[in-house]
Amino acid sequence: MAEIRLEHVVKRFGDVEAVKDLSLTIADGSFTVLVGPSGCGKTTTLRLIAGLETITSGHIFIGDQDVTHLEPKDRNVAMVFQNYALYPHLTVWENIAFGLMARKVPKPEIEQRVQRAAAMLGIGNLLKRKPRQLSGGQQQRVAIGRAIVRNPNVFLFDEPLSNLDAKLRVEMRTELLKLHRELGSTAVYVTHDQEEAMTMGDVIVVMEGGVIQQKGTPREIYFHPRNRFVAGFIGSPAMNMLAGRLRQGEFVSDALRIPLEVAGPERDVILGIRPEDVQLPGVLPPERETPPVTATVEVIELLGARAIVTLLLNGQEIRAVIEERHLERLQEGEETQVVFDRERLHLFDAQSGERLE
Amino acid sequence: MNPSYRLRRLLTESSALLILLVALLVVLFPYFWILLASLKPVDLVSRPDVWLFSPSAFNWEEVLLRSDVPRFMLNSLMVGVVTVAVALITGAPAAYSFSRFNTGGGLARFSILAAEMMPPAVLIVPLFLLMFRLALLDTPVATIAAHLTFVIPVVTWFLIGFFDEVPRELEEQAMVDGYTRFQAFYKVVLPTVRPGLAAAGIFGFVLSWNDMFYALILSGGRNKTLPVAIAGFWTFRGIEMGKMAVAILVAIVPVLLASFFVQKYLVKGLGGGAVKF
Repeated sequence: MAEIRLEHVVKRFGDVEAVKDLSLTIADGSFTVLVGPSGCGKTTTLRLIAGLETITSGHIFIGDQDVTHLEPKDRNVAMVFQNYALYPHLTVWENIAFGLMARKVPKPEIEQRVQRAAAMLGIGNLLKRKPRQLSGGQQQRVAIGRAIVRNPNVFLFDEPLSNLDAKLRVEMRTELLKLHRELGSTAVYVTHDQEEAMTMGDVIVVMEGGVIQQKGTPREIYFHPRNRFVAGFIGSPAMNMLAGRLRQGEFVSDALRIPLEVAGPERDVILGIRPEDVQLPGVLPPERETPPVTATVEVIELLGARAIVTLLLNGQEIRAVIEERHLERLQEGEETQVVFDRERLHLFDAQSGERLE
Repeated sequence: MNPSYRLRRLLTESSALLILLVALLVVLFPYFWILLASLKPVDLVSRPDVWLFSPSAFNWEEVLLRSDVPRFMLNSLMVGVVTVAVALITGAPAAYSFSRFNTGGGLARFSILAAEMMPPAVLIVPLFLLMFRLALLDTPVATIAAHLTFVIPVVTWFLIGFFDEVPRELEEQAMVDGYTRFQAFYKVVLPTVRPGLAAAGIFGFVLSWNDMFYALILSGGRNKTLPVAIAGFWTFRGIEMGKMAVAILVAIVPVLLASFFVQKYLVKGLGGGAVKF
């Protein structure tokens, strides 16, 4: 069990700076998710923690130990790869025991620990099989079993669920979280899937361009995105972004005028509104509604209890998530009035993309 | 399906089969002819026009029981096995390094085959002088050394493609699991490419087994290999066709068997990671 500390970490591949002066503390026992689009440096950061990439400059600590220049084998971390990386020539039992053998754990103890890990994951009946005789979900479990049997300081997950089908993925999420609670080890989890990040992380670290954009709890990240990138990346459907000007505490754009509780000099701004905060009049408590604006309904996509409604507002497409029981008031191709939730508006500086409070 | 289409398909398919059949006969005929020659009684050996005769085991007994051919065969076997062992021990790490670290860049990857393109006549003089100085002429060591000049590059080239297909994560996993890079290589990567190692080994063995040029010049005496011995049936009393035929068949069989086992991997190996540059 250990805290992970990255101090001014830089990683360059030739001319490309994949990780730029990154400092990050990952709390002991937390489940921290690194999330971002591909090429944002999240996987490189994970590999730096594992020791699979050499660090260009900076320091990495696991617990009190400076591991910056330690071999992967000496860091006592366990990793689960996206493609599982099961040793094809070994049985499931040998796959799980492989790391223990490297550490010269006595035979009876290996047997005991393998059995316990297999039981936790429900793969006790597969121990004699070879990886190629297993389904994707089973292979995934073996890969996780191989990690937990080692009892490492830190678990590193590199998009471990990406190769599973949607249903299994959701099941495995829950299962991984349960395992994490049981074991209590520090876990760092890399994903490009913002939904996975939201559901799994105690702490989410949003990365882009080799830089941390925001670190926070899922609630903080979702409800108080620090900049336009985080706001647009987290949430599905994505946050609506309207360009306009901030003028005397009002957001102004063509026909739109939305009063805000933001002071400050006049400037170009972006108004961010999450799709669920775009509503029909009368749905929200009256004091939270902004003055209604007129939009044209373009497409209604029913998901079940809710629908994603694409609206044309001032020549710009915006999306709204509307509850099914309100849909009767909408007709594709016709105009409607919509309001925004006043308490959930996000305002960003158009130039810097930073959040304005 | 309309009938004219079916007829056309039948015609193209049967004519293709016919062409293949002819090709097959052309390829197999020499073997068949040698088999006949090996079974002919002594007085008929020089009469290729005679097709009907009562087969005799005389040549087979002469060659297998009363000549040095079995000993030369063992020689060939020993030269081949040692050559392949050395080639695999050196070639596998070399191929791994080309595959993983792109050692020396794309050019080096291809230039290992340069030794293949050199005519053997270029190498034979320095090799001969070298072996003479080392007093290794007419020993298996000389032949093995010469064979390594072309078997190592081929084995290395052959294995690159197999290593390319091993996911990097596999050895990274092993390194995180507590092994050094070298342990990860021989505990995880090598077992994964076992079919490739077998195919490369057999292919290298066949190359060594088939060589006559180096073996003749460097070790054409007491320690000659089978191909040199076969040529030896061309004596001053004429060609001993019947015995030669037996020796040829004996030499061919292991190669045929070997090719049968590796055919599946041959194409992949010969591609040698050419795709990735």
